[in-house]
Order: sequence, then structure tokens, then C-alpha cells
Amino acid sequence: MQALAEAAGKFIFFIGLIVLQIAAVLTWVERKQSAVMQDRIGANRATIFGMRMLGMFHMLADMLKLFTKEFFIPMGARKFIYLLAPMISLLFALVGFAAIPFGDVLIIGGREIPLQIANIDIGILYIFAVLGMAVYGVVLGAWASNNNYALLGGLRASAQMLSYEVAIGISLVGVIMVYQTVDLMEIARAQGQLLWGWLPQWGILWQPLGFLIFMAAGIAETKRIPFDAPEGESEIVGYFIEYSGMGFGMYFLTDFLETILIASLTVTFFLGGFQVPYLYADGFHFPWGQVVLLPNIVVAVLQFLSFLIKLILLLFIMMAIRWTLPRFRYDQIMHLGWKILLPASLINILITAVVLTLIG
Amino acid sequence: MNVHDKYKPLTWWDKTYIPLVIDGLSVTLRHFFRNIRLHILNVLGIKTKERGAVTYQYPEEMRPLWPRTRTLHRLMRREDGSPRCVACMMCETACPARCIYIVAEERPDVQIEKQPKIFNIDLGKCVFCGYCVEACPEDAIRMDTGIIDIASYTRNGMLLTKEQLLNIQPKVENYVARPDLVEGQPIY
Amino acid sequence: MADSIQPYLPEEIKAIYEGRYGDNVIITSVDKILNWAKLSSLWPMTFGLACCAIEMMAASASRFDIDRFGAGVFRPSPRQSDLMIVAGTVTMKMADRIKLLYDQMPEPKYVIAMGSCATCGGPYWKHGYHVLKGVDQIVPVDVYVPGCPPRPEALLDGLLKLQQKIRRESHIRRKVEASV
Repeated sequence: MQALAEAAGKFIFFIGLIVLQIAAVLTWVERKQSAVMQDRIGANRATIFGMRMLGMFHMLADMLKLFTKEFFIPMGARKFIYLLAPMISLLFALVGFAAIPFGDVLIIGGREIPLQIANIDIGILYIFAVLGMAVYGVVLGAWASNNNYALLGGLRASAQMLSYEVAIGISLVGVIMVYQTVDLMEIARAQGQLLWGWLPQWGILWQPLGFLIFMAAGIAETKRIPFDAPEGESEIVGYFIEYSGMGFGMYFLTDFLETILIASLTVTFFLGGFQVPYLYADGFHFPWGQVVLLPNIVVAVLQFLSFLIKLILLLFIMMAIRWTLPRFRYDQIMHLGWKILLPASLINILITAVVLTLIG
Repeated sequence: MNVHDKYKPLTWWDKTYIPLVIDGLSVTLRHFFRNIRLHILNVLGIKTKERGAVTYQYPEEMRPLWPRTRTLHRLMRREDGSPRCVACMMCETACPARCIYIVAEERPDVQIEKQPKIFNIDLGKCVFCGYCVEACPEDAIRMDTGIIDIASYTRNGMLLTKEQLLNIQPKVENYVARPDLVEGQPIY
Repeated sequence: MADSIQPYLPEEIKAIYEGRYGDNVIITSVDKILNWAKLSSLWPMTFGLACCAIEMMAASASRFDIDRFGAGVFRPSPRQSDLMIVAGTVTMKMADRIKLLYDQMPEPKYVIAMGSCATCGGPYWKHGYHVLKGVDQIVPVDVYVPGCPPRPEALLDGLLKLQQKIRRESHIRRKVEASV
């Protein structure tokens, strides 16, 4: 009962207040960041009571408009699966956040609450399972639309997602070898240890090649540009062309939620998770000897803020890549996934094994 | 000199596309940080000469138009208020889209014999080429008003009658379209 | 801007626009909110047929930004867009496809006829044998933007006039008109 209340509290806080709000703000950030990069001003004309607020009301207007659009079902479409597919997509994008640690422990009234929604011992395997199930939402939606081009887009999407899941998996094996655990919370905690007394052992230090491979494969998994051949707008239309109104809104939201999921996974594995350098459970222990003691609540808030800042930085980089690079051709995507990233991740495992044996 | 000599084969480092990605990102991020800095400085009030965006914010800011730009038509009047047009039908003949419709009638002043009773321009059909301005011998029709926001809700709303054309106020004043045909000069 | 449209609006439309028919057109506050949402996020469909498409591209580029009005997300699929800007000459062959795509768009949907050819056939209105003389013969058009091609500012003005028209819409009236 207590555990249920704790989990519900963490769920409401993390997913309701943080992740979903970041996904909504990402729609605004996409327009504004692309506008600033292209020397123009983005959306800024939606006014409520005369206030423009940099165009943030456009998020609200988009959402309201998608709610009030007519949602109809194409002739010949399988009605049940057609209605279910966007919900499957959204479900598996949200469920993946259960294993992400966003803080160390929070001590309330003598009870320790680990800041992770579900304490899963096999965290990485759970993440693989969720990413694998995310293919279903896409393929079912494409198949149920009774449209040739949507079906082709869905098949492209499934082939691309499956290929890059292999690359993601094998690049994470290097991380498992370095930190010797599969639990995400333990990996985040292990990145607080210091190498040579002053360098925090973040994942990017031990696995630079793994970081690049995971980033590239992660962007491909979420079907963002430059890997958006499945949903290729304006040329080869993709798997959601028959969806209107809120069905399209759910696919749209899934896109951003998966981006946030991949970004938070990168932060957890390679950028130290919630770790602030030199911050331990009771305060700062600097390597030159100075110690600053802090209460537990301040430590928890600092760790959560560092997670958020790293997440926002990584989302900024992914948005910049989205608006810079052109779309890859489909055979180039397959070539990259199987012939470049897979051998590179295997070589990464080899190098990691050799280095770990030499260090001992 | 073989044309294929220009294309050097990609090295293994090039094939990972990493140097290309970094090149592209450096261009966009340079634009991004420059524009963010200028936007922040503009909001704070410092350094407002350089804008962070090249946008002309229509409808508050208009892009400056050259005086020769062909915009909405207007009919010119003489000093006594009657139209300069003598219904010679030269603009109607010259129009490639056949959007001008003129019906002539007698003018009270017998020296100048005709004036238009009906002078309709259908803006929907007009291609804004300016042939009517070039063909007119009286400098009666000009396209120098500077008005370009002429959208309409109905098809009939785009049909301009003689009264509307005579009463259009230009945004640019005192611009002379045909200096060789200014009133007072003999026309032969 | 209201002065510039003074000479050429028919009297009834001008009256509605100026709000003189206040008690005949009832707009509730729910209508106001929904109309605000609809006009702040009009997503156009990429439908450039001929030279007016270049001016539409210029209107969505950096100099005259159509994204400022919320209309910068050009969707390729008719199922996800709510504005169709018919930009260019409409031939008889293309007219079938335009009708098909218009029928595929979900309600509420709007059409802007951009350019001389889409409003009334343009310079081909007299002798063009394969040109449809105005796209309003097959789809109901909300705003006509004349010009050949219209400047990007003229297209933005057409969009602003469409936003003013949407602001005066009433959902109750639409339902009544649809059932009659």
C-alpha cells in the first residue's frame, strides 16, 4: 500500500509534471529553434488577452484544434485496430519511463524513496522490450489504414526500427561490461565514483565510441530526421497519412516522447544520469579537501536539476541535428545500420574487453 | 582532363559522415547563437540596428517597394474632377487577359469628346502586366498606388467599377508614371 | 488595412465583417475559444501547381514568414491539414484530383484560391480549352487572392482575412446549415 502510494506519487510527478510538459514544450521548441536557426521569427501571433508570450499559446491552439477536428475512419479500414494502434504507440512510449532514475534517494520521515518509478533489477532488458514493442504501434496503424502507401511506410518503419535495435543493444553491452550491472539505478550511481581521485567516471569517458553509436542508433529508432524515411513528409508519405484529429495527435506526441526517452537513456548511460560531480548523499566532497554538508532534500533537488539540464542540452542537440541534416535515402539507412554501426559496436566490445583486462 | 577527376573518393573517416555532420552543425549553430544574442539584445533595448531575424513582420512592417512596382490600378482625374480617360479603348485592346470592359458616352466638354460610362477592371483576371499603362495616351490609368492587400471574400468583390477606381487613394503620393504625358503638355 | 478593402467588398460581407449584424450572428464564448484555436493553427496542405507555388514558397521562407501566424506546418497529407491553398493553374485533369483531395480533408476545412488562374481562370479564361475557369466551380472557396502571382504580402493578407472570417464563425449555425 505504501509502495503503491509512493509509485503513484512518483508517476504523477515525473510523467505528469515533467515528461508530458517537456513533450508539449518540445513542439514549441521545434518551431522556435528552427526559426532562430533560419534567421526568421517563428510562431508568435496567438494572443490571449493581448499577450503573445513568445508564441507559447500556439501549443495550446494546436492541441485544441487537433481535439476538434473530425476523426473519421477510412472506408475498408479495420476499425478496432485502427483505433487501437495510436494508443499502443503512446502506451509503449510512456511505459519506458518507468525505469529511468531521476534522483538518488529522497528521505521523507525516515523512509528512503529511490527516485525511480519502478525498481526494476533488469532495467536494460526492460528498455529493450519496450523499444521492441514500439514497432507494433507503427505497423498496426499502417496496416489497418487500408492504404497502399501507408502500408509501405509502415514496413519501412518496422525494418528500420528493428535494424537499429540491434545496434542499440550491442552498444549497451559495453556499458554493462564497464559498470558490471544491468540495473539503471546502479549504473547511474556508479558514475559518481572518481577516477584518479578527481575525474567522475561518466559513461562517455569509458565508452566514447559507444556514445556515438547509441546516439546515432537512438535517433534512427525514433524516426527523427535524418532517419525519417518511414514518415517521410512531402515526398514518400508514411504510416500515419490516414489519421486525422487526435489519432494523428497521438502519433505526433509519441514522436516527441520517444525522443525524450532516448535522450534520457543517453543521459543515464553516458552522461552520468543525475550525478553532479563531487556531490554525494550528504553534500559536496571536493577533491581538494573542502566539504560542504547539505540536507538530503537539497541534494535530491540538485540531482534532479542536473538530470533536467543534461536532458535539455541533449534535446537541444537532437533538435539542431534535426534541422540541419537532409533525409537519408532508405538504402543508406540500412547500410548505416547493418554495415557500419553493427561492426563498430562489436569492435567497441572488443576494445572494452581488452582495456578492462589490461586494467584489471 | 576527365570530369570524374573532380570527385575524390571518400576516405574511411569521411564515410562515417561525421565531418559532414560537424560542418553542417557549425553553420546552423553559428546562425542560432548569433540570432539568439541579437534577439536578447533587441529585447533589452541595446543595439537595435541589427535585427535577429530578416523577417518583415507584415502587416505592421512592409517591405519597401520600388516605385516601378505594378500594384493596384487607379484612374486619374482632371482638374475639374472628371476622369482623364477619353474611352479610346487602347487599354482594353492591349490587355492580354481581356479584363477591362469600357462603354463610352458623350462628355459635356465638346473639345474632348468622349468619357467612359462603364469602366470595369476584373482583378481576378488581371495579370498585372502594365500594358494598359503603357498603351494609354492620356496618362489616365496608373498602377502606382502601392496597395497590394487586395484579397476578397467573393468573386464579385474583385470587380472594380469606375467609381471605385477613381476614388482609390495611393500610398505613394506625387509619383509621376509617364513624365512625357503630364497635363498641360501637348499630346500629338 | 480596413480602409484598403473599403472600395471593393460587397455590402453584405462588409456588414458582417464590421459586426453590424450583431444580433443575427450569435457567438458564444465556447465558439470564441474554438475559433481562436482554429485560426491560430491553420495547417496548409502543400498544393502548389504552377508559378504561384513559388510565391507560396517565398511566403514561407525567412523574409515573409507564414509561420508567424501558426500556418507554417505544411502537411503533405490531406487528412491532417485544414487549409488548402490552391496555387496555380487548374487544368481539367487536375480538377478531379482537387475534388478528391478536398473531400478527403476533415471538417473544418478552408480553401484559399491564390493567383489569377485559381480565382477565375486567369489569362486563359477566354480561349484556354483545358483550363478550369476558377477553382470555385468544384470546391467552395473562402478567400480569393488576385495577382499574377500575388506578392507574398498579398497571400499573407489573404490569410489574415481568412482568420477574420473564422473569427466570426458559429458552430451552431454550421450544424444548422449542414442539416438543411
